[in-house]
Amino acid sequence: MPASYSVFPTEIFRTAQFRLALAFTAGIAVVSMVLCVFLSWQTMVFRTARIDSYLESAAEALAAETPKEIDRAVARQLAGNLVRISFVGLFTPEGMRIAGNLHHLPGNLPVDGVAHAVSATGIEPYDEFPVVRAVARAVPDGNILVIARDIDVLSELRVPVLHALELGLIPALLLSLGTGALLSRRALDRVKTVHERIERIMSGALHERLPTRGTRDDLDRLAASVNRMLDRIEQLLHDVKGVGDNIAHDLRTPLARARAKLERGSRAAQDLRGLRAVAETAVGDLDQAIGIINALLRIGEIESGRRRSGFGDVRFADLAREVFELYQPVSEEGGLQLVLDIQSDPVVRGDGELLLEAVANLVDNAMKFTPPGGRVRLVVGEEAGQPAIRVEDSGPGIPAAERDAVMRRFYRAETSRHTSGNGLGLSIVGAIVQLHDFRLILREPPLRSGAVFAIVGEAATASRRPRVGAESAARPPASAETARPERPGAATSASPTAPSLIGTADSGS
Amino acid sequence: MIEQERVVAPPDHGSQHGHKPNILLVEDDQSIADEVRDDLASRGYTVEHVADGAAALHAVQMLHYDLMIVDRMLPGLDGLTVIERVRARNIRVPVLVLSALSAVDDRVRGLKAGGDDYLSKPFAFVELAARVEALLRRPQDSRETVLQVGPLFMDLIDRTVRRGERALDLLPREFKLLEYLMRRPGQLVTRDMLLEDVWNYRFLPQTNLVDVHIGRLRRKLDVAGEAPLIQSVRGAGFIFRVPD
Repeated sequence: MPASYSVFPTEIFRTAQFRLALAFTAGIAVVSMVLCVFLSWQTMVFRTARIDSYLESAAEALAAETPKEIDRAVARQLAGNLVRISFVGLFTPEGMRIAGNLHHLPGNLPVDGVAHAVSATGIEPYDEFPVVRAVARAVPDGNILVIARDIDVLSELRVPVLHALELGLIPALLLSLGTGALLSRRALDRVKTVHERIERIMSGALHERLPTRGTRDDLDRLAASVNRMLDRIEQLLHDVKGVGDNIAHDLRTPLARARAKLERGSRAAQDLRGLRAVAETAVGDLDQAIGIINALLRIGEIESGRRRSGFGDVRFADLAREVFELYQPVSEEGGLQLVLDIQSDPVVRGDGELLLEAVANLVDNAMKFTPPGGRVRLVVGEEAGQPAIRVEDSGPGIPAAERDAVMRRFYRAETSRHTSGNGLGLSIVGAIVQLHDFRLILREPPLRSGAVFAIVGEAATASRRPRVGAESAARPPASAETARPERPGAATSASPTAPSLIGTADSGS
Repeated sequence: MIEQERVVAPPDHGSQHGHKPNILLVEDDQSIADEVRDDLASRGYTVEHVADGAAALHAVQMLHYDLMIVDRMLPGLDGLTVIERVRARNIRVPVLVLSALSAVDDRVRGLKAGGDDYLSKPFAFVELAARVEALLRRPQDSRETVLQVGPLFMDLIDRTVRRGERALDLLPREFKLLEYLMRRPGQLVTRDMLLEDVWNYRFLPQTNLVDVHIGRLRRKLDVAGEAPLIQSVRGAGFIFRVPD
């Protein structure tokens, strides 16, 4: 296994999952920080409001006292008895200090009994606090009372915020990083198994498939798609191999026969006449080989899709009639009953010549496999709401197990090896149907025996008309060919007149 | 019109034209050319063989030929170009195109370039001979409305056929087939020609389609005691002929 597929620890950090986790972690960190800042700010606002209201009420209460009491209270505060008040000062209306630990009246503090933010610089010894909340209030004797308090909220908050970060953010970050690593580890494991499986498939184990868990997650769905593709590739490879084998086999048979005949003839023929006879049959064998090659070339030509440019409107009913006219005499000679049943008159887009070839091939095929006394029905109708031409025969049918294989290119049911033909008829039909984006289906026969092939197209226009004079048109103009060829023993069940046009369900044999 | 000959024999062109038909064969494969020349010579034709397009163009301007057989793939000038140049010089010699490519498109291109018929390789000599003969004796006048060959009368307007006094009841497809044959009396018509020209089929059915249709027509043409008008030529096709 190439080294690039192995899972090194560093590999984890390169996975999409881990990168996602990293981004997620960063997100959590940012959000947490923002949250902390917001909380701190809110707390500060709240604390400031409380301090303000305390300062204001304290100032109001003090101002209501007698000047003596005020002096005492200021002195008390200095002794540490005035709780929660850091500074107090009593000044004359001119701003001269009378008492307290405030050395001078803050310049920009209005004397209104309301708390204000005051720059604390110069307020010894509390220079370290840049801002304090202060209230100035006139007391009854005209002096000015100032009380203030620092708002050292930040230092108070530092501890809980750090705690919060320790207890909340760090575990959250670790958790998301860990989860990311775990997820990427798992993804890498799956990718690794997929890689290993692909390696095995590439080295020839074509039956292997990518592992799926049935969870329908993205990787699972991807694996399922790849598996379907592998199914198709395996099928195609199988087909191609079958094609090669079959072509070789089918070509070798007539060539071997021709060779044997020519070799034996050149040695054993008594006279020119004998040699001629041998040569003639050998030519027949060669013709068969050429026929196979021509059919293959034809399939190639059809599959190249060049003919699609010449598509036009084609009536299925016209095709069926033409094929019916062509094959009806053949069916009678072969003691078969060919029935034309036109149930609707759909129009499709396609190449009329090719579609005729496809339908003719199906009929040809059906007649080849149906023993004398049997019946072949050519039906124009619908298949699941789509226009269709069906060819049904009462022959031996195709075993259910072989139906899939029959539809594959170049396959010929083993039991048919003794009948003539190169076995490529259905392949040509398949190629034509594919060129049109139609479908060729092999259906369960309506009766117990027989085969049903259907070419299912797409309606070109809204043209599904009910039975358009099907019977009169399909019946040969010279009404019934009463002067039937004498064929004793044959066609016991075949109708003596023109074939019936309405499909009946009874067996043709 | 009525000819006396062995079943597969050189047609007696001498009595009609006063000379053996002169065929120019343009084919670069020497062994195929030799075989074709020998075969056609044995059927009473004079065959001149050239191996490339330039020589063919030169030859066709120097001499009168009754027919050209041109291989599609030639070194230098391609077969279709040769035909186009021949046509451009207003030489109306019938041309049979030979090709190893059997694709329908290719056939169409061959005919568009000015070819009159198309035969894909490998072919049976009898098929080649039949096509050559058909081209040399193209139906004289297709505007005729009444055809008569021996005791057989065909009215193309009324769509009726009589053999002597007896009217024949033919299906349209049988009428079409008989018309094709009556326009080529005494001429070998192969199964491929019938499939292509009468039924417009470009593929070979696996069943004996042609024989069955001919058989049916035959039974309508000849009643007991009458001489058969359609003869089978083993391994080749059919000849419509009025016996003595």
